[in-house]
Amino acid sequence: MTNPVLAIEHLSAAIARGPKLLHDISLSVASGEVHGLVGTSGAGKSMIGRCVLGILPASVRITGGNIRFLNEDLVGLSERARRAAGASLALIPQDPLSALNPTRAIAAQMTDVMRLRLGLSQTEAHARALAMLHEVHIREPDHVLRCYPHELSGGMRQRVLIATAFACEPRLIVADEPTTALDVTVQKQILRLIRELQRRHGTALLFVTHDLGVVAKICNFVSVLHAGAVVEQAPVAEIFASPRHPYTQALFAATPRYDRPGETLKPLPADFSA
Amino acid sequence: MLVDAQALRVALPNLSVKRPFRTAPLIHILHGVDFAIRRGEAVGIVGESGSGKTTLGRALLRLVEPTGGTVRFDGRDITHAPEAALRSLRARMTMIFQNPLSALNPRRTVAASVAAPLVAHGGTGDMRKKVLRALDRAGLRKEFAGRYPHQLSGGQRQRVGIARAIVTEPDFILADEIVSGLDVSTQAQILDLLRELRRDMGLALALITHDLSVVRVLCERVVVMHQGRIVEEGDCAALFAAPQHPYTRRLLAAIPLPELDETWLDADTEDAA
Repeated sequence: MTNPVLAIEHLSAAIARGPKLLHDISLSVASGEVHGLVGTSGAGKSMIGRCVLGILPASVRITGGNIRFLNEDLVGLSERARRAAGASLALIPQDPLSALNPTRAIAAQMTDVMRLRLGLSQTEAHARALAMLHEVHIREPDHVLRCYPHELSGGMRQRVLIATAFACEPRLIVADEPTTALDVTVQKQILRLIRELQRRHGTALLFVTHDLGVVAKICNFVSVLHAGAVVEQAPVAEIFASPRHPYTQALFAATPRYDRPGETLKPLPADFSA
Repeated sequence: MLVDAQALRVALPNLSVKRPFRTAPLIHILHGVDFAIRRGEAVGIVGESGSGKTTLGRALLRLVEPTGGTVRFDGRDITHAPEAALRSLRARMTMIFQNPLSALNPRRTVAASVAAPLVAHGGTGDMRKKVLRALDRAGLRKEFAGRYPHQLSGGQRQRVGIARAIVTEPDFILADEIVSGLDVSTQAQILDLLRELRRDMGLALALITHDLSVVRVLCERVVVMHQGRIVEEGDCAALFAAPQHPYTRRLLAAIPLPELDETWLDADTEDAA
């Protein structure tokens, strides 16, 4: 593997004077790679994304380990230094409606980021926003830029956020359950779009999801998380051919499939439930 | 037939184009839907946002009044029955909501929320026993009775929603997207619970969802809705083995199965935006 864009080494995090949330997490993501973080609610998958982005809740502290991003350690970086590194990092959030400001038009929200991160003028940023909306296959980008979030469908809002995430040419994007709130047919379009842009721009992607189906279709590599620790880590081909850890096997058994009758579904054993 | 709807039409005022002092034009949501469910049967209602599946469910429970067609519950015509007449039936047809956090009163304990339908139907005497029994059936130990919704996990809240729906020993339950916010493990537990309740209580269940995999787990029959019409219906085994309508095929093709398939993302879904 070439030099990874992101290398997390022995990362631990805990609530201040409280329970541990992440134990000794190690993983790396190369440029152009999609790394899936999968697990049930509370497994710590989103928490890893938040550590990388530096947006941990105030009560949570990183208690050990490193997050190497482009050969710089993000742990313990000053706010100013982090802001500089932040230009190469972006987030595609789970809920597009709460990620957008309801009182501002799409244009203002997209150009803010580009002016701040890339130092573009208002005119340049506007032109780039148009180009990005075009790239995410929005047919009337002019119109969408003038819209407010409530005037767009869920799929359209997610396209706007994907366009915004890619607009600053980040090296790494954290996608936190980006399709959970969408209908299945829209989910497929959005997954396809994310992969298309990710391949074209050679972006590394940390993809948080609880859906093994989504992992199978978009990830190259996967880390299975349970109770804040990585229980299995392998290329997707390996995990889907022969999941080794009992927790991974239990996740497969709990996933409903339309091609199999219901009796085959097994809830997770009690010792694996959160 | 326990619930029998024929040529059901629903139209609502289109408020997005309403002008002051004018009657709003009607927007037609259901265009003549036939839907029936037998005692003890589980039927999945699937379709995308805006297909009319939730409106169909609400019309079956008479939470909206149809503009055409008929709805019968256990042989009684309830299409235009006044609320007072529906009252006695409400204990026999209940609903589980999508988001239990917004469906449960945050200032009421679990026991108070679950007891509410009993109170509304004039229950007396052994209410606490009934509440504890419903909680137990929903898989919640009795120490949960005194807790508040914010003290519960998502799965536990949904169990409270289920306990409230079964406390009056109904014949028919409408479940609207009840597992879509849950992770696979919690989802599997809730589906398992519903299967158990159906078996023990002989419930008829209408399960509204956009996820055909969930239907396969719980239902014998499925109807597929698109733009206010049923485009395909049949027994699950047959429909999943050989879907006839192009829309059903597209819905199935959009579900990511947990197995590797390099070509899946490239395969056709119309890319509209």
